[in-house]
Amino acid sequence: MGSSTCRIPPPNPELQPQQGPGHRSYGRLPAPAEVRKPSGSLWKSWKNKIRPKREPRMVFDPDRCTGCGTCEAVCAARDGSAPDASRIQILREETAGANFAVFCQHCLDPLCLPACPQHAISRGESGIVSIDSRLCAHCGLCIQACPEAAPQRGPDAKVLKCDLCGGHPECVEACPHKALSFSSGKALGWIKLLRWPVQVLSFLFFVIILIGTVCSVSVADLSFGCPFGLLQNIAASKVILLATVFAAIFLVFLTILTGRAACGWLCPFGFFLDLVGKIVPQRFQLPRFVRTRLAKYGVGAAALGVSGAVGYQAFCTVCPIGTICRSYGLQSVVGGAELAILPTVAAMEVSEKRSWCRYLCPVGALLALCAKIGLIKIVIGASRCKKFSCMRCASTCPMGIIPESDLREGISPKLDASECIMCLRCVDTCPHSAVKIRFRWQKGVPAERRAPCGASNGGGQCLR
Amino acid sequence: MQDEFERALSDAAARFCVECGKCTAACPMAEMYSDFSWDLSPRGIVQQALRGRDILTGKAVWCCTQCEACTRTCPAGVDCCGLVAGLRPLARTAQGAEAPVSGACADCGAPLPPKPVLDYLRSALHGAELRYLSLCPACRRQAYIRNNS
Repeated sequence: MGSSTCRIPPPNPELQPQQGPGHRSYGRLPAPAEVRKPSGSLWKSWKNKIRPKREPRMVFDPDRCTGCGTCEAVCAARDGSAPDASRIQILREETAGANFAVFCQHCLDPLCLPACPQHAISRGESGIVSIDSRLCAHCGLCIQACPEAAPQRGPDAKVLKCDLCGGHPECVEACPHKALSFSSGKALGWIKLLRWPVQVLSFLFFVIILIGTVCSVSVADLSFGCPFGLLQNIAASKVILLATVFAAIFLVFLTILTGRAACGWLCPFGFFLDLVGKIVPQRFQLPRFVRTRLAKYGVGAAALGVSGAVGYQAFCTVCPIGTICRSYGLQSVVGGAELAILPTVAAMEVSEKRSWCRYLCPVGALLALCAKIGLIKIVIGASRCKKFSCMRCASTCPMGIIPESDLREGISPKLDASECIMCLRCVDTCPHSAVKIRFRWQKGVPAERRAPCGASNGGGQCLR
Repeated sequence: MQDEFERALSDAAARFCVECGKCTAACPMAEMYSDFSWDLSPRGIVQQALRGRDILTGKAVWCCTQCEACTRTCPAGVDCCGLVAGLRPLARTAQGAEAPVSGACADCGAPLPPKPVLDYLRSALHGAELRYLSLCPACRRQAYIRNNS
């Protein structure tokens, strides 16, 4: 108290004045690069694409922790303070014998960073989120913003936070039971090397090699048909041909067995959309009335109704999946004109990946109904998942069914099997092997133990 | 009421204020609120309290984050932060139900930061509606553990 040291840092030419709500622009640090651009040769950038480099992080194993507190003591010794003010806190549950370590997870998209009014928090080159002690006013808003309240007030009420000891955390070395480890995790990484060739092959097979379309194919004695085309056919002609039913039932069975893998792995138009989505940046938002996943069921019902009215398969004339197959190679002028549907639908990729599949595709809607009673599901395990600090699965999911909001709250989201196209990108990218493929009857995500009060009234207004 | 007001002033040694403005320079509220002005600043609050202006009815005392940056930096030894903390109960009685307090932790009942501070936090965090903001840090850890083990 009473120390009159000047806490304002010397002017730094790097600190450019920015527009903001406050008066002071000198304290603003340059915005950290969100995602580091892969530098160097083309080979390096490709290597980074195939196997992205991850910075090592501290991983806590609750099964090994005995709650001895060595990590706390070692950490506090850095500041010369008592263990209760260390930057890693072990919460001990004596009755259950379970312990849990709370420490900064060094999030990819840290919430403390925008919350800090002093702009003292930055995410460094190696992904270490640190507090600049010259700028910090110890207001504690980072503690309030953090989902697990990882920053900690020290003995003199100053805010302390793990900085990974600059890359060599001492608590990890000191832990006698190896409950803390320092690793960058291990993602599978090979599923995409399998899926892309399968998608390419199925595209070549359906679009180029095959005479005919994916909608109705006969190879030797086996015939294969689009189940939604069959439904339209029945609606149009009011006649059920058993042979076509048998042809269409294959895709239904496949979907019940493996989820909507046909959408993620086989659909030639889905492959086309994946390619477009790789090139086109997702920058705009579709109008709200399009962005409802129920719309595709409406499109399906409307298509069936129109088919019954006009007497032929109405949707099949504009179906992008069929169009991409039968219009290849300028078979006819009509075929060329049909091709116009492809860029129109693919243009929706500027808003979200696989927008067509998410919101409008009626074939996908039919398969979604099959997947609802399907045998497998994707489960994000609660204890292994790093939640808000990672969120790689949420950003990689092309269907956008992994809600970031749940992960931000520290809850493992429950995934809707009918919306999942089983592309397994989430399984592939999770560095903590928390995302698993499970049978329908196997244990899923545990229900949220307690819904925090304020979920309904906007928060902050309970227990007045 | 007046006695308590005077006691809060004397406890915080407010009369030693030399109006140098270091407290305002250190105060994080400048970056938090777009309407930050002399009325909201630590110097303004101390001066308004000394001059007998009515600061118990506005939102002046409710914007502070209680970080004590002003107290640490004051060369005259004025406990600006303590003054705000001392004035808050008086403002609470003066304003009654109108006081912008954001209530208590949904689990343990510990007080949460006042409404302007939480509003700033919500607007800073991508405008996201985060349910855990209605828990105090200690209970938030417990909730996190419950959901993750």
